[in-house]
Amino acid sequence: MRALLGWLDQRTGYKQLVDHLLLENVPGGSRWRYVWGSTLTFTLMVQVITGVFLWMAYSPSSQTAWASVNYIQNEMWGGWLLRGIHHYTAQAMNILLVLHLMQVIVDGAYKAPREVNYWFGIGLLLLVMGLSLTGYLLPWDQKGYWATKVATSIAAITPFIGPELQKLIVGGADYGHHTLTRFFALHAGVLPGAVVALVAGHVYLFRRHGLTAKEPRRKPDEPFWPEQVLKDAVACLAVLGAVLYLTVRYGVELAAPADPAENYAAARPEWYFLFLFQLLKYFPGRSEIIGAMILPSLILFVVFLMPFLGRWRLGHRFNLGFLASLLVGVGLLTWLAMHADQSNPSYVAAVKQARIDSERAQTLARGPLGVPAEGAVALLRTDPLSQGPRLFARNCASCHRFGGHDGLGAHLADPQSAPDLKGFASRAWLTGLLDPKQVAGTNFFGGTKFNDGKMVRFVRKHVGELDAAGRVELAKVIKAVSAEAGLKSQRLEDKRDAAEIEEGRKLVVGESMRCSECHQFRKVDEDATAPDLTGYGSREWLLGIVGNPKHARFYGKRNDRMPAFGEDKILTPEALGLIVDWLRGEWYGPEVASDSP
Amino acid sequence: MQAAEFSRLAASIHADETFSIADFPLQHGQTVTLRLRRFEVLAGRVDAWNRFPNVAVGAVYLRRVAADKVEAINVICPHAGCPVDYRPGGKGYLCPCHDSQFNFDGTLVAGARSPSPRGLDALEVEVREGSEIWVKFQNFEAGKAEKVPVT
Repeated sequence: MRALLGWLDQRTGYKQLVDHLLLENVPGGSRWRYVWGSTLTFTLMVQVITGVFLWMAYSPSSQTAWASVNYIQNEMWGGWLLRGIHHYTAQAMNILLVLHLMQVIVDGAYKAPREVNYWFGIGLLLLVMGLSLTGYLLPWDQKGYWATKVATSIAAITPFIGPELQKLIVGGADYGHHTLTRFFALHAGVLPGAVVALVAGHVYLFRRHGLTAKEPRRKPDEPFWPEQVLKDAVACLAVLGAVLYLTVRYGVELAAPADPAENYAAARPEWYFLFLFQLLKYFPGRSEIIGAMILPSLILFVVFLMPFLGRWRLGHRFNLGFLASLLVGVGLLTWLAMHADQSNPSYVAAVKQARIDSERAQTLARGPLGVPAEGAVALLRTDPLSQGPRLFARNCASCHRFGGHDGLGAHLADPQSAPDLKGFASRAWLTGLLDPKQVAGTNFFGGTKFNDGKMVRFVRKHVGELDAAGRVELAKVIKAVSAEAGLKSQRLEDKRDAAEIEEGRKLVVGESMRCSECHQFRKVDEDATAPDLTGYGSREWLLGIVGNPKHARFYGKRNDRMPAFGEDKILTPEALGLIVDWLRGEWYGPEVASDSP
Repeated sequence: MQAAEFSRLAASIHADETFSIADFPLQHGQTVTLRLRRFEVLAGRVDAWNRFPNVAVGAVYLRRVAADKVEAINVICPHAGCPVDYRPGGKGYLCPCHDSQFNFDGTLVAGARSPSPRGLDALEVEVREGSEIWVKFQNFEAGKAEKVPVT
């Protein structure tokens, strides 16, 4: 072994390099306060390595970005760990950079002759912030999409070149494929390249000038190895431990796929940019540029000038005070932003909805259809469970209700003027409709002009007077009509009660129950004056009545205010299908997959 | 996006229900008689190497101001590009990002110290075929007091 290493050393001289690296003099002996530079080098290595592995599975286009990150997160072996380490190490870097800066200022390591090295460090701080900003967009989820929209909108107010600068960054007038290809090139190519170049210069200059010892020196000088290396290694392991803990304990969020037409009220930048976000709130109208650019630039300028300021007697104290007030200010703004959000019920509700959408999108991506070729944005857009409540709230809930609310859980002040459609056509719903006490209530005909119509009078009189045998027959009729809907939730009952349903069908057309006096059922009846009971509550029937309630098959001319959503093109056929499927409980869900025969 | 063209909205000038407010976070006992609703705008869109014939390119608030007249405003806040939401209590719009406040007609709420440099952007509306509502959908540059279309 020794011979082999000797052979290698003769040809490469590596021993001299190792000695040079490890035997660097540490004036005043090793100290914990010197570890920050090493932890930053370590985290940079972690980011390069995890970044390259993420790169192997990531696909930057607006159709594939979310799907590939979802694949990394949920399908790829160890992908969640890889992404988690990359995510939390990025956050750790921002904290470590601030700690490193504090140590450098406090110990006076920024003063002559180390000005250039200090500026390299400030450059690295800005580059790491740039890496955070560009990385946030790459999953192309709602969170990154809307937060980055704000960031690039701010770029547009740059004097003279703003709009062009924005177009250059975004890759056109609008967000799309080129936004991702550009952000990815910046994130994985340009910025890391610049970081490596600056780190090389930073380390070179550090070795050239040597370490700035904290006075008074407590111990004699020591070489870097082994005492300082040990301290650095412990610090690096502590950082890694914290990153692993956060990854395992909290995981990394992947919001729903970016959708330019879907509001995302929970949009916020990463926590370490919240102070900038909060600052924007204080500069109304044209003064935005002060908060977004002038103030941050001035602060940066002062930070940049610190080595010169530090030459004066009071300069160092000024620098210390400036840094302290800067950190307090940033902390205060961050706290204000978080506090404002937590005490804002709309924001809290938006975050909750965002979580639901995020989980749903990932569930659908795991489902039998997976992510369609047109991109992950279609996952939620074509999902009845996600779109049904939204469409219902916007289009139906001004008259109808769903379980008493608007579909999304909000209770409305406007009076309910049409039936509650939760469980429409189910046995329970029809039992309510045919209950003399409920038929004229607001959940059925109460709010409509039929509240004293034939059906209400019929139910009140005839159904109210049924004897025991009649009530048994009524139950069979309900089962038969409800079976027409073919509801997924009633599949087992419909199968079990096939015989009763068959009897019920005969009763619907028979004379004793008197349904066929107004309704047609399973055969054409020119004289029918009430909605067709054939296929009642089925997908086709519901699409028909929502599409055009004035059709002779439904309410005809007697229709009360219900718009013809399909016929008048108020909603697209796709939107109508989503509402109907949602009302009928037809959507993909793991619980359905497991209970199917 | 291509040069601004008119897009047809899934709304009818005659159907009052189309405009009734459904998604307001109203407090108990509150009523609002305004007629307005958020609509998605579907249009053709070119994204680098893909051409999408009919996708959501944005959204508008459509507001009925008379029996035969509606106004449309882009939902995007002119401050920094976030889509605005309704203000709780049915009092106009609120941007969820930096708290800009707007009235239902899109103007800035007076005295609210909103960060937005201008009101929400009104869009051209046309009624075609007697009942169809068409909107010339455009986005405008954020952060400016004047309305400059993004092209």
